[in-house]
Amino acid sequence: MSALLERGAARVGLRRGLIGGAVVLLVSLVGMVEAFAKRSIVHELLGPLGAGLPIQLLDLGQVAWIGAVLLSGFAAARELLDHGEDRPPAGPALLAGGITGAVAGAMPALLVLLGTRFDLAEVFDKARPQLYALLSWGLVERGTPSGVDAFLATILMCVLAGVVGAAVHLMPPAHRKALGVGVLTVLVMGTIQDLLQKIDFVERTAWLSGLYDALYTREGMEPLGAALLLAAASGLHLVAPGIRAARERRRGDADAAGDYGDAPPSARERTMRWLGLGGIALLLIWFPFGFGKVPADVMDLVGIYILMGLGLNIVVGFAGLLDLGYVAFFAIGAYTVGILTTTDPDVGLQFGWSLWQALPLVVLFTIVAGVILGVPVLKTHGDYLAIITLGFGEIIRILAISDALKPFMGGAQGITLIPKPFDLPEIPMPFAGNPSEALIGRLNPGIQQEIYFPILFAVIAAAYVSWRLRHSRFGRAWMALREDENIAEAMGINLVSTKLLAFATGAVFAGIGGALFAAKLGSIYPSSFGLLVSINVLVLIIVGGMGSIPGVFVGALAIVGLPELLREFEDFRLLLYGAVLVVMMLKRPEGLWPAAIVQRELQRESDATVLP
Amino acid sequence: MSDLLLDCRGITKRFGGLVAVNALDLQIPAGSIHSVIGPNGAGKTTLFNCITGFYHPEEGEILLGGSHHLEFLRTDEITRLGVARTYQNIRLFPELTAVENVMVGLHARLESSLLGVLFSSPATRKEERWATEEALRLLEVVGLGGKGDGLASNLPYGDQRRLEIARALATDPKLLLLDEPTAGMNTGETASMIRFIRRLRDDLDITILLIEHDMKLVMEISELITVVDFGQKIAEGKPSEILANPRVIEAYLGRGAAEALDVRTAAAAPGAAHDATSDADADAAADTASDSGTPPGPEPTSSAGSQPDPVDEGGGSA
Repeated sequence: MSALLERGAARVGLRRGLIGGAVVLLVSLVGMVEAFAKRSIVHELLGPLGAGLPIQLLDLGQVAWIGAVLLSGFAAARELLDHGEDRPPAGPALLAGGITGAVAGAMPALLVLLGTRFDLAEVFDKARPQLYALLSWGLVERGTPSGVDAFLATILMCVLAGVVGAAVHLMPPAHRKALGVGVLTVLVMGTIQDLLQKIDFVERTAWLSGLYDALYTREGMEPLGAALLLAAASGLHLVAPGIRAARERRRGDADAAGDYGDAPPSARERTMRWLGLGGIALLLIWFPFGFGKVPADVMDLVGIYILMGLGLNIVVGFAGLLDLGYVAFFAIGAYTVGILTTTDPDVGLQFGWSLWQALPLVVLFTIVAGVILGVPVLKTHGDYLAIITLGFGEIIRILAISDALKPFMGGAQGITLIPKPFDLPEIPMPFAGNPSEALIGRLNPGIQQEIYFPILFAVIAAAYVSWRLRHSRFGRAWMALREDENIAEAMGINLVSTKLLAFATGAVFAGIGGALFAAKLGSIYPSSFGLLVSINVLVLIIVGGMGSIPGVFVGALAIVGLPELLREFEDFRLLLYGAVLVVMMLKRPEGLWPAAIVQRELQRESDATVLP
Repeated sequence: MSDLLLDCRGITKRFGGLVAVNALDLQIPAGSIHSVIGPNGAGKTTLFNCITGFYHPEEGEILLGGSHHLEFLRTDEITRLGVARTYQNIRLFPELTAVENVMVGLHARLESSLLGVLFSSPATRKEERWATEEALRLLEVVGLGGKGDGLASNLPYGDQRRLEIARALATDPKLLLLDEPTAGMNTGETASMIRFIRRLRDDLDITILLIEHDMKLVMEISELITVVDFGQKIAEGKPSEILANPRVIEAYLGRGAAEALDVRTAAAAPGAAHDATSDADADAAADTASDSGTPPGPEPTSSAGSQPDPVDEGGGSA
């Protein structure tokens, strides 16, 4: 039995190792390891012990490639024990992890060995000495000239990672999860150091800035702080189920007499819900004051993408009309504002309007554009519709860049000098110098964030409109259309008006998003309206959950917000999109925050398995 | 004949060289239960698709209530005039709940405006409340009370058939077209479906036109039966007349069987077998067939023989 398992361990280890090694090679050669290495997570990981060692700090690049090996070891142990017996034997699992690590580690090790002898940069432009140094813990430069010690060091490190990965799998699930949460917390907190630094609120509040100084050095977190954070997060995760269970028990007693399932919320629950919403609203209003310019800039962008996401969610998520040229409406909104409001004497119509005067025309134009796109595609479905809309998006972009329309749209130089929507004077601070100043800073419209509030308002309005439509006869008609167009028509639904309403509503949301985008940046260029914007919006809907309104918010935060925090991701955005989408489709096809029905059905299924 | 609800006159539908429905006449009096039977590929579903506007016939006219020409109308307009149908292979909205499926059926009867919806006007709120209640009531009517919250695709097969009927009823039809409503049902379920269809007619005053292969059901429930083969009407009459018609037997069992049976039925009840086809509506070919006992002259359709009709499936997914 044991010999059998060991043979299995070798086989599983070899396979997982090859996969893991390929991933390591990929992230190395596309430059992710090198780019991510600039982001430190923990400073002086080993404290004074590590003084003589080449590992001075843990950075995100190391996390990326060592993490891949570690996960491979974990997966190898899981695969081995999946078809083993009830009590997992530790030996073969650790062996499998070790073999995985060795096989996976051999690949970067060989890369280093080869790379120091031959010039690989002609084929892989990221295969540079800096990369080899990162993969071999600097031993390439400081070790023996043959590079054998660097080779062995890389493999040894990977074997270690593989064994650790396998060992993690042997832990009791509850502990394993807690550890995972702890490690993740440290990684996230380490990664967002730059962001925390830019939050005005932290800087202004004594105890928070004290906490910040205690937790972080200039480069990464303090090792002690990281350890404490890990312990705190893991511990919290360990005790959380107990607290939750106690609360469930209390609620269970209250519910026992009542109906099962979709009982209407009690008065107390409703109050709690409104309080929660109020809290979120206050937080959002406070955000630009408390967090300052940089985070609010990110939120502006997230908000604009939420607007577009809500619009496309109606077209694709509700009505099932795959639109790949959605950026066209965004561009129309932006250019309408640009042409009507710019003060540049060389372009535009010299109307000199304000954003507010232009907005009604934005709405009108995008409705017209939505109908213009909608009419020719009424009879097309699926793939064909996607291709036609793709073309529509390109037409608008090419019009914007064309020389013929240069007097109006500025050609490749775009439109600049778009005025800010507000010109508010500084509001004198009524309670300067007291604790409230820490909370909201100086109430200065020069927070340069005046556009934040129109965006916030537009997002709330768009979400409200989406929600109202979703639960009306129009929303039901859209969903019937999505499910089966012929049958929808046989239910007395007019396909023409229903489709056009979806296109027009989606177009208006994107148009307002574009208008605010133009007003925010003060200048627009055709290059901002490429296909990638359409794809971003589509991806955020898929990640959030097709047809789900909260899903759009979650998806926008994940797809637009996170990359803004991690500038290093920028070059690898599409690569990561691909990876994220594949993982999402395999593990969570319904999205991060699926539409209520999907959720309810999953709930029902899991109930059914518990209650016979 | 003044209270004809549906009057199809000489409708013809071709697909390339294939004549799926060939100069077919069909008269359905208001308040009747009428069946269309025929071998596979005879053009029954194509006929349904023509009546409901999925297909537009090349020739002929379809009159609803004596005044509305359905052959020029879109499917949704026909639905609004009071024609609803179910499908041979069930076609619900799988990702919507049962209640939502029925509420989609109510669409044409709701009239909230866009502004009313956006601002949640009292009229809209009242209408939505009515729609929800009506949908739940219709689910009760078809025996799906309490099952409204599940996804349509998760319902058992028989319930899906009922839901499809509830959804059709939601459009408030005068004429309900049922395409094989008991396909795949056991005898118990079929019996309750027969009772249910009768109740639809008796209580709700809905005229029923159905396609069915289950002869027991057809004979039990129908007041009038039309037999279609190769897109043409070959017989029409009361169940007892149809049972005795040699052309029908031929269409179902082949020529030899028809001749064998013809001899016996002619001996048993001389003349009775020929009544149905000597109707004014029956075509000349049928007359020659029944008079001489020999097969009709020219084959009515292309040389396709018994090849199944490719468009008979799927109710207009083309």
